[in-house]
Amino acid sequence: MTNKFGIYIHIPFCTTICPYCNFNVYPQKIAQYDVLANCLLSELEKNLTYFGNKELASIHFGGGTPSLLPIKYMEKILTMILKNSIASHDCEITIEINPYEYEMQDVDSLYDLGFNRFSIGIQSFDDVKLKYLGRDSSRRSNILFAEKISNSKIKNINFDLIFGIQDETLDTWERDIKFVSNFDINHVSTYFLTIEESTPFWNKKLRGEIIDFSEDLYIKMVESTINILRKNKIYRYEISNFCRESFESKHNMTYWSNGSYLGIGPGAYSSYVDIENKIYQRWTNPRSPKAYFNFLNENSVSEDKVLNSFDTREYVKDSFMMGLRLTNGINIKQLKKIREFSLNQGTLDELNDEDLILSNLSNIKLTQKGFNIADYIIFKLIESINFKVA
Amino acid sequence: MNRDNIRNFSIIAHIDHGKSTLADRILEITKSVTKREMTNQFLDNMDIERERGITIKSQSVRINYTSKNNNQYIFNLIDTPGHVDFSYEVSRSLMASEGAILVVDATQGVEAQTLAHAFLAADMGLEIIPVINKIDLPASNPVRVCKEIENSIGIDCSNAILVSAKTGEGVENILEEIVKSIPPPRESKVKNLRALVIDTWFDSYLGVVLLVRIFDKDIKTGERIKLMSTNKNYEVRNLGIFNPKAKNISKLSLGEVGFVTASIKQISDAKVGDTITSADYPAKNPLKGFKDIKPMVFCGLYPIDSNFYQQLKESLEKIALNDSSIKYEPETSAALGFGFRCGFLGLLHMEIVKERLEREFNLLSIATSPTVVYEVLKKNGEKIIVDNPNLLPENNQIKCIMEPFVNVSLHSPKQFLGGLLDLCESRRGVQKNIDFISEERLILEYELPLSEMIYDFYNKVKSISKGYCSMDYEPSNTKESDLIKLDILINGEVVDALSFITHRKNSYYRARDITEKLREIIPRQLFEVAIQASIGSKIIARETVKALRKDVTAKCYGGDVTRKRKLLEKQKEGKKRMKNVGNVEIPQEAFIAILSTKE
Repeated sequence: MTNKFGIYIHIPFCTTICPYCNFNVYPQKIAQYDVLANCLLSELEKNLTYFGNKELASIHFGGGTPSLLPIKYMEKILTMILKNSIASHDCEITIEINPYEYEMQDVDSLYDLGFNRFSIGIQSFDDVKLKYLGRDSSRRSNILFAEKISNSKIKNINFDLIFGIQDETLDTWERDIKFVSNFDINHVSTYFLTIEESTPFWNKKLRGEIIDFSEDLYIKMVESTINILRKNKIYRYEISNFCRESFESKHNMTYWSNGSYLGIGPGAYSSYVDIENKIYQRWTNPRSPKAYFNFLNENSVSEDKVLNSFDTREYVKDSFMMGLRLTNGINIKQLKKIREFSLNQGTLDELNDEDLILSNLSNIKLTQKGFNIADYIIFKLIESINFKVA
Repeated sequence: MNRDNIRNFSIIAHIDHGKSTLADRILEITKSVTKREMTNQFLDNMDIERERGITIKSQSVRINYTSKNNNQYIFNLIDTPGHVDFSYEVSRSLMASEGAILVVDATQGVEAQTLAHAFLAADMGLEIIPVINKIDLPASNPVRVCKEIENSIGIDCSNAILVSAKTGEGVENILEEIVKSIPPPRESKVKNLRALVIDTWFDSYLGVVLLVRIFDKDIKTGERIKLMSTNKNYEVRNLGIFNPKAKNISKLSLGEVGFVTASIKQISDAKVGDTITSADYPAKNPLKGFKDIKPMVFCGLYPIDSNFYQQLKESLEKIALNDSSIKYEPETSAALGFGFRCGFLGLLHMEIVKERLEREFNLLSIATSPTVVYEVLKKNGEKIIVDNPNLLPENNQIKCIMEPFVNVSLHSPKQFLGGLLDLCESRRGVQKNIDFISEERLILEYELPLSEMIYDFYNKVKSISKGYCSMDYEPSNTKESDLIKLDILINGEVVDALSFITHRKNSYYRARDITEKLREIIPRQLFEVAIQASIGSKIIARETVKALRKDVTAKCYGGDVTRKRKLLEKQKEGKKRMKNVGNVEIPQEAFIAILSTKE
């Protein structure tokens, strides 16, 4: 994994900002796409060489609403990337799309440009839910778009769905998830609605208009999701992600397997891993578009990398944190080659006995029951790591 | 210096009325410290003192003053601690003085400690100079405050000095008034050395240091001295004064205040209030008023990580070097392992020690719920002292339990009277007196069991009165009460460190309250946790912490690594403060939760 890398490009604008979203996004009306595109291009030119020894496995346009970026800039960006890196023959090129802002002919032109994976922000096929979530789409418009794209020549499609909104019943969610089988897609992300700080929903929660979602219902909803999608040959491979065999998102797998990625754009994160030379670096771009533009003019990326260099202990811990979210878990043997460590046997036994993990000498993975309290277990396991003195 | 030109005085004030600021200003005006050396609140040495704005250890400083008619004077400003837990120390500082500057905040008026200290000073025959401080503030009302002082303390305020310690306005008038109205130290009729120990502390270079006031004869370096309460002899090594920096001199004369170091090894041998006399020509009688003060509040202190027992022991030893009022003895708890039973003057004293352990010694400790000292009369006629709930004998062996009571005086604006009465009544109080000191303010006096006062009483007073009520207390006596031991069980096991003694009629309420609070404090674990309260074998309250069912982040991508890592660090910090009792993780706060009650 470490000889590959992914590129993430952040387009931080949206026509309307969803009331539950805490991403780094800004209203479309302040967007200056020409300025942004120039910045993205110059950042790419500067930073791609840093990853020059690695093969490019994926490109992901996220946001915000990346499809708002005029197509001529997309073309420039893709050209720049492909000119300055070694892309693998099956390089995954994804873009996130909102169904209500895009016409199919635009999707076709993106496909012609080289995009081969489309991640669609469906969220729900239920009008009440869509309205509650502040989405500009309806059941009807979502179905229309879903039909068109799944019947097109595009084969690699993801639907994003949200569950766990206030008063949602198991029945409502099951209808949503069952409806997916009407379309020929191979990837589904189901996100439990998290009420994030400093969002309109957070204020609702403070006012008592949103109460904590029933934990038992959450567990039932997850069970239903797994069972219904399985009938469709779509299987869970990460806490919130499901796919047909070998259709995992390559780009996201890079995150979960703690690989290298270059983040371009305001607030984007990067990670550079070079196991052989024991280099592990992470850095972040300034969050606001303005600060990001200024930062690029000042030219101070390399210093940041030095500041955020970690040692192999951190690498192992981060690998636990991300990797244990995968149904396949983590490869202990491989991690021990990077840095020798042992795990507290008492902790392992306790978690095994409680049917929360499955572990052997080379692998640890969480069970379905374990995934419900993944944060708790991952914390416990990381706490139980005992590093050998280097 | 001629005895007639010495003035020994203290500044007394309620907390926050500006005592330390006034001391700072006096040091500055008399050029005892330069502007550059001046840190705010010069006399408050410990970080905690400065942060909490209270003086814990007293200090003294010698000031040279040239009066307006050009005479030279030596002022000894003897600092006093400013909190209810330390009233004995205050009385010793006052005893070393001939006069007291009574500082009252012009915006607040007379408060509980103003009165307590002023009465103490008057009882000791001190000349009191009333000073109205903070006149620079728009809300100040010197006329009303003067009237309050006259009504409540009964001293004439027609010549009260109006000052702003902050700006320095009026402070010079205080200095002239000290010369004019505070008498010089009295003549001695005793031929042998007698010096009062005002304060003691441990200095890493000098060893045990005693701050003293010479009442009779004088003291010289090399002289052999005796401490009269222990009858132990020592040789004087160093004598000196604080000017305000320590400065060695060879002799301290009648009426002077300074420090003494001798071959004293342990601070416990040097007791505040003790009398120093000559070993070869001892005085017949010590100075009046010495008390061997005893801790009033006890709790268990345990290291969170049992590997740190030795470190806790050493840290307590170091704290005790400087603080002769703390007592500690090893004890063990089934739940918490090896630790110490510690005695304190009061709750604030306990909190300060706990905070010092954390700050100065970087040691996380668990304090079990504080308890007072009970006297238990057993049926077989034996009388035992109980400072740990778990040492209470079985119910069928007990004839009766006696508990200490205190007299509490509350100074409050009249509109809060109702709330304060309710509070005192609910704490088994017996009303002694209500007095109006002005149209607006009154003094309410109650006798309460000390055990009722140590849990959340002061906080309740503050919240009922929106912070306007002040409080002072003094021990009264011990009386029989209908007391029982309440045990807390976690998953069926008694957690000895959570047991406490309470009055039978409050036991149901307290049991419900504490189990509810523990339910909120104990984090959810993989299994259900039952919290029960029992008297003997009878369960009287139960709460359940449900098993952890869901704890998972829905979205986790590249950018979340940093966020997650921070969260992990935070969790780790929190975990450090957890104690495993059986297989249940109990946070530190749980052990102190018994102290606070629901609103």
